Amino acid sequence: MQKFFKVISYVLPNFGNYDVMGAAAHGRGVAGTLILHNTLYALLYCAIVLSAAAVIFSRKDLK
Amino acid sequence: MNAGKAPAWVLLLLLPVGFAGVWRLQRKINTARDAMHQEQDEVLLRSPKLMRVLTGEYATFAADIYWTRAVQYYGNKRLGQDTDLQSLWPLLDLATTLDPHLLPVYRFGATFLSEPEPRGAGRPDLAIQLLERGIQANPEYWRLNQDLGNVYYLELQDYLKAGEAYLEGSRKAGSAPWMKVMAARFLEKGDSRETAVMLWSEVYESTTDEALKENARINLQLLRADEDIEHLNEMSEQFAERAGRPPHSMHELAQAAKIGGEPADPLGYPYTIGPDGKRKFQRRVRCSNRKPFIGGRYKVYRSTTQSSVI
Repeated sequence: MQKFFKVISYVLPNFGNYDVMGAAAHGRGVAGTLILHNTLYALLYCAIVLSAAAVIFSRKDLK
Repeated sequence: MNAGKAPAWVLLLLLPVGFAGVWRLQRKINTARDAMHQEQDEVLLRSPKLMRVLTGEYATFAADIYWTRAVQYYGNKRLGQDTDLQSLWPLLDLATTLDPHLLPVYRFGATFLSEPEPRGAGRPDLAIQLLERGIQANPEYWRLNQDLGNVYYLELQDYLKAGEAYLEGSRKAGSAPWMKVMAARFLEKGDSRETAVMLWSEVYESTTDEALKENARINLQLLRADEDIEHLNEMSEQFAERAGRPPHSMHELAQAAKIGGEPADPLGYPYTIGPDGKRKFQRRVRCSNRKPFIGGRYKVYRSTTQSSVI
């Protein structure tokens, strides 16, 4: 069950990645690598979802 | 408009490759976030006295914050399977100094501290310190004595101390009746037989619960048998010193010690001497147990000579 939810957590978008409330509350900066990886994560995830949607809808007859 | 259909294999290729990339990125993000959390583990102000001065009349509010932080700290460490709980004690120390009446800190904090790694900090000594502080600040709250007894019992296997903690708690107003029972059990196990007999007798006389009364009666009988066996052991050793050999039978021992008749356990079954004659008394002289074992010990019944006590 634990493994199942772990897989799910990778498949679904993980918005927790963008939560830096703790660091902000302690007056700490957010690491540059974290910002970079989060940006890449967002771009990649959007690319996957949009591409998958484009492929699926291209195969449908919407007329 | 003539849009071409994308082949299905594009999707089959896109999803695994894309999510493999997501998985790798997520791992990197997790590493970066863990590093951030480790930085946040630091407790910058570790002096409870200074914090008390700084927080002034908001000390209890600050204590709540430190307690919440301690819970989050412990929870995050557990989730991350990190066994380094160095900041746990400073957080609990701060919380209890700022508000000595914040009872959950003592109760749950002691569990966090006393549990062995990886479940806890593996510091029962600090858990005891925390609970003793809590008992001093909240002398009427008997549950802290129970928790203290549990730490001694579960983590240190110190039955005597566990029994003493339970006994102290059992004397407080409103304490549960089983506190006394637990105290008796631990003291009995910790070889404080006299106190255990006293407590079991109290339980026997005061309880209206038939099951508890029966339990007390059996335990009193067991204690009586323990005492008998100890005395018989002494007599057997004296016999061996005089005769140069252990006694062959209880009859021989009884005659040498000039006791009227063969000694019997509280049920009336005679004690017997084992064939090996070795120094361990339980092997040589044992209670005749035609009854089933209880809790790994022989079941015996109280002698008629003691019936007036119960």
